[in-house]
Amino acid sequence: MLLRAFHEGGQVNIEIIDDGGGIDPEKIKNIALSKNVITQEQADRMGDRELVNLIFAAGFSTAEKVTNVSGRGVGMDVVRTNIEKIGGSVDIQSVPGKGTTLRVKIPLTLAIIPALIITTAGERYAIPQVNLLELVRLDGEEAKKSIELIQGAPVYRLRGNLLPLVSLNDELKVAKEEESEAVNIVVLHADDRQFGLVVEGISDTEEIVVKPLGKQLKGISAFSGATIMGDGKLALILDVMGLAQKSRVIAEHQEKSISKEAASQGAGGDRQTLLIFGLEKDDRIAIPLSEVARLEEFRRSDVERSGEQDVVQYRGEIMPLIYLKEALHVGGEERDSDKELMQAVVFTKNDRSVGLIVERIIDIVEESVTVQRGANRTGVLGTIVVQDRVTDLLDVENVVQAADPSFLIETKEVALVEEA
Amino acid sequence: MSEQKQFCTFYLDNHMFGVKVEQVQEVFRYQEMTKVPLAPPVVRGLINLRGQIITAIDLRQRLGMEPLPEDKLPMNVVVRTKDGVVSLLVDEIADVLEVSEETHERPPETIPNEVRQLVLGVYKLSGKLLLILDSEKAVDVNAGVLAS
Repeated sequence: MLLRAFHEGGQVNIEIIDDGGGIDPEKIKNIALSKNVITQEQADRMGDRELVNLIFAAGFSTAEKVTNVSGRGVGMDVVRTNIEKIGGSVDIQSVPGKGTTLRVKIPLTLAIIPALIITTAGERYAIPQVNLLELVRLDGEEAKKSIELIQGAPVYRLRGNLLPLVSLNDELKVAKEEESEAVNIVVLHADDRQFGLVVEGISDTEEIVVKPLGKQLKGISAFSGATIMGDGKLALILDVMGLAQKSRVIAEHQEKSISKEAASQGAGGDRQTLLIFGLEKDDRIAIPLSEVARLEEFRRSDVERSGEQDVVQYRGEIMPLIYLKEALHVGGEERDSDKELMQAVVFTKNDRSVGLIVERIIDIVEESVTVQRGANRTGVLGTIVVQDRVTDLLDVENVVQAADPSFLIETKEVALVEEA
Repeated sequence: MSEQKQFCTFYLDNHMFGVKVEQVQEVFRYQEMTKVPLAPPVVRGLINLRGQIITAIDLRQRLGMEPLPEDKLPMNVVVRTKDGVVSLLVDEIADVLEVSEETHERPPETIPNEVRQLVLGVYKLSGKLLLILDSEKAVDVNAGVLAS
């Protein structure tokens, strides 16, 4: 049995090849004649290949027993009808005693697609049904209660999972038409990501004919084409992938690496140990414990200055300090705090250490980490749920590099000098 | 024997412009357009032209002119270009003129840059000038920006 799939001339070809007994055209002819699928006259004019293709004919069956569902000569007919419906073709070739080749050709671009029609800012837009998962409508109070904000980025808990919300009005930079109490969320998936698109109204599903946009509009990633609606007016077709990228639901490189990381750690059943700490009254930030060398307390009076950098003497080394509050732009300045003891998370890389000053250490937990939504600010890899609390996952390398660009590079240079 | 050329002419802010008559598919009155969010500002919208979706370009804006007063509706000059069929929005459509090559001159250096880039040449008609529009360039709204 051999299964092949390849592109050819704008079509997807799928071939299923076996080396079995093949189909005997004589046998097909006799059955077709006995079931009155063809007349004797037609049969005489048919070549072997045409005879073999009779298995697609309605009412044709080689089954000896006919049950409620099988042997009624429907199966292959349905296959062909459906493939032809989408503009494809199916063909069968068989050599008795050698094997059979079934070849399905499907056009790459399906011009007619089912789509959900939504409205926003007085215009209609079409969302391809392939990207659609479900629709959620939140009324008045419910909407206020169940949409939470993480640093201004709205999220909704959809059956326990965090669903990042993206406003279509904001993405398209169009003004809100009506201030309504209810929130309509179209749950979409792009790649393996889910996100909720907030729209003003949801109309209906329709089969739409996809028409390309002119070259002048090709640069807009939010649209994949346009379609003409029943009333002759136009509706733009939203490119869900493009929207996701634009709204940074799928952030480009950084995101991929973390989702891969998360996939390899989370999906594989690997549980990860996380250190949870806080910078403000009730926020929670996590860092994989594997990234943490140790936890330390420093007296404020031990802090010295080296150029622009606050440093401490630590284990015979001079260790720079990074005030995470400043690095992540939250809360007041750590340096002015009047607490005598500072909590530091020591991060070590290439034999060099840096102390990340945090407000308080909360806990160490073991969790399987699945990033629920992408990063919406620098220094954060994404958001996860730990102990039923929304928790930001710190991007340590990014923070360290932003605070001290030389930290990762300089070590390399030092190493080079040593080698030389 | 001087060569004769035919141009479909139209007005923009009291200037007479023309495009080669062979490039013009059709002209028609104002039609409702579907706005395209995020589009470059010169793209006024999309028009359903008998089932074909075409982009409408505000030629006044493309040439750096003042916008058409609110109470006036533009007309469409549909041109065929290598980037597809595009509608150019103009103030008013005039005649098809036959002009002699002898009256042709290159556009003067002193006219505004936006205009000069899109003008292939000038024909000196009696009492007015006919500016020939480079329709290929006019519809290439991404020119100047990096083509993506």
